[in-house]
Amino acid sequence: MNILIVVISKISMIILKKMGRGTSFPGKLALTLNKNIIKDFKLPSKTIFVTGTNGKSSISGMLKGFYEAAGFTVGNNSKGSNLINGIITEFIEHSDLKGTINKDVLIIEIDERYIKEVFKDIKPHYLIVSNLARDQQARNGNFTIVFDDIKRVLTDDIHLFLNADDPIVTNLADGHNGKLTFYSLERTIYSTKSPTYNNLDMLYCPRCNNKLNIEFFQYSNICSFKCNNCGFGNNIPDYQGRLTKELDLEINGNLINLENHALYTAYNYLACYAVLKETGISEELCMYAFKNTNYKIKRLAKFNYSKKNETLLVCKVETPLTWNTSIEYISRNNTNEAAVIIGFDKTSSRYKLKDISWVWDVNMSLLNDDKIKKIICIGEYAYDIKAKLKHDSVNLDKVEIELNSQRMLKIIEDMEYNNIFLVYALDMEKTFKKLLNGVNYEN
Amino acid sequence: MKIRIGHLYYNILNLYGTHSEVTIIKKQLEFQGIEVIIDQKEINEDINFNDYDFIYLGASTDYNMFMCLDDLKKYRNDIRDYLKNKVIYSSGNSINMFGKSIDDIEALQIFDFKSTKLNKRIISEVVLKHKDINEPIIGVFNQSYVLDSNNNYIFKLIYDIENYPISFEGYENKGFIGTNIIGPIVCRNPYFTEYLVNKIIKSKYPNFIISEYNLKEEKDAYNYFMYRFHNSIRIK
Repeated sequence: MNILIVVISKISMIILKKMGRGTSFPGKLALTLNKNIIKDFKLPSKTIFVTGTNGKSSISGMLKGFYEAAGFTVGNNSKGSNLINGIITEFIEHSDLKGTINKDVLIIEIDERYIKEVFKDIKPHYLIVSNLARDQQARNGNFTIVFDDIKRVLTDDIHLFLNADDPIVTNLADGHNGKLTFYSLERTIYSTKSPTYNNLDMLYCPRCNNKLNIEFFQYSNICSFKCNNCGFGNNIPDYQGRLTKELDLEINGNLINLENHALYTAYNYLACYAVLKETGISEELCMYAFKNTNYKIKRLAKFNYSKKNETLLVCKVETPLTWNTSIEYISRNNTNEAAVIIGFDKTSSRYKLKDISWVWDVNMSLLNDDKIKKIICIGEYAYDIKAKLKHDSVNLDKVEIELNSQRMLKIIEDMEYNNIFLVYALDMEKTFKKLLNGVNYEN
Repeated sequence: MKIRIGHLYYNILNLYGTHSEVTIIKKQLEFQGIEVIIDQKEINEDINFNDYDFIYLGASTDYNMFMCLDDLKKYRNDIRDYLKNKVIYSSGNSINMFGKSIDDIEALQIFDFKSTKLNKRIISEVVLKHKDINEPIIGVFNQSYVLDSNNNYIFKLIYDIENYPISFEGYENKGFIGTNIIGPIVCRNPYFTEYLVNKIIKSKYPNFIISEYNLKEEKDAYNYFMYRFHNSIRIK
């Protein structure tokens, strides 16, 4: 390791932090000075990478909290960038001048398209893949391209943690002779015999092209499946959770309170539990960590503004799965007389093109619910959302248009219904937070 | 009056929101007072092309497209007969199946065009023109294949943000309408929807008097998009 590069990068980090800017510039600087610098870092024996279409931020953030609660020192990039500059910035922050990362555990959230770049030079000991689905189609094309990128760089020295209920993710095990750990969730009260959507990503066996035998669906393409022809998907999960009647998650006889009752949270806990156990954490310490970690879920916040109950469900543009799970969350909620404000202003933070094909992959029919009295489509694409609501046979009498997202607080103040669900993309959440300026969130 | 839609390989040709196009077409036909039956077909199921008045195919991964191509090859003659007086709309990469070849793989050979895979995927926002539709078509290139449609192209490119060296897109010949453009085109282009639904109706009921369509919300979305973003368009 070139000590000078580490020193310069660390100094830039200190200066930027003093300026209140936590950017990935130090990593970019280090890369400019040595494009192969990532090879020179010495990683701790518990180096865990987390990737997938959704859940990587949550899982890595949760794992950080759990390991810390269990008494470990942890390096983690969940508050920074999950691209290569952000990862190197994280390495620099936690390393000594020789590039040794002095933490017990290193947990890195990594963008699924950057795995192929990073894994050329370094490999984690453990890799969690939460799920793979259609996402950021301008960038990714489709999920098979992402799958191929990941599959190509997997080596047998990586211990894979795979969501056994995702057929695309499960296929990563094909030909992997290293250690494999599968996690899964049993049938829940929300499970359905038929898919909720017509646009699932994988209904045919990726190995023999036979139609998969799907016993039930959890949400989207997350399901209990197997191929009757070749046996694909016939894995016995190493860790299986169960949702209780009270909607707690039961793992190995222990109960975990799922505050938001979202199924994806149950899967996130299962991934964490599997990794904690496989890295030698005792059952008692796992449960202690779960109970003593105050982890805030990024995508879901509850708060009170203007004497109303607001639930903020943060979605990602170009990722229909996040909108579908948010809409499912609303439909499963027991509130009376609710309003929904839904929208986004920008179609991509990365590309100039305005692709909204993903909107037509979101199933809005669940908003055709008597308890939802009003739907306000907000932002630059409000008319497109309304057109999709019409497509999904939602009663348009309760649908209104507001093109100006700066008016969202006024809309809440004037709302005649006390329960309001805000289904916003990240860009609109930022606008919302700025407008709120001081109102406290609580999970 | 009744129109029977064959939605082929509905559970895998469903990428980029294209499955939503079928619902819009169905609703517009129903709005004209026509009963609509949608028959969803999967791979390995028998397809009787005589059963349908309109056939729809959506977009997919390349892997799935080749799975469908293998399945469709046994119906080559049926498809040729069907197209003598009926309509197929192929949205997204399913269009490639209907040409002569996809790279060096034999396609259905219904038409003469060849599809060639590029080294790099084309990604760009586009505005296009159809010769019989006054309003421009909006959508997005997100494709690896280009086809040499010669004089049978469906759209002429009038704007793209990346300045790709492509001037024409898709294929239209008699009852076949196909485009590789992502939109979904029917969902985002109500004037194209009218054109397509007119064509479907007239293929079965030439004397049918078509009344105004129920596309207000779709037109609001289209018009706002054109109004909001048209200023940035440079016409080629």
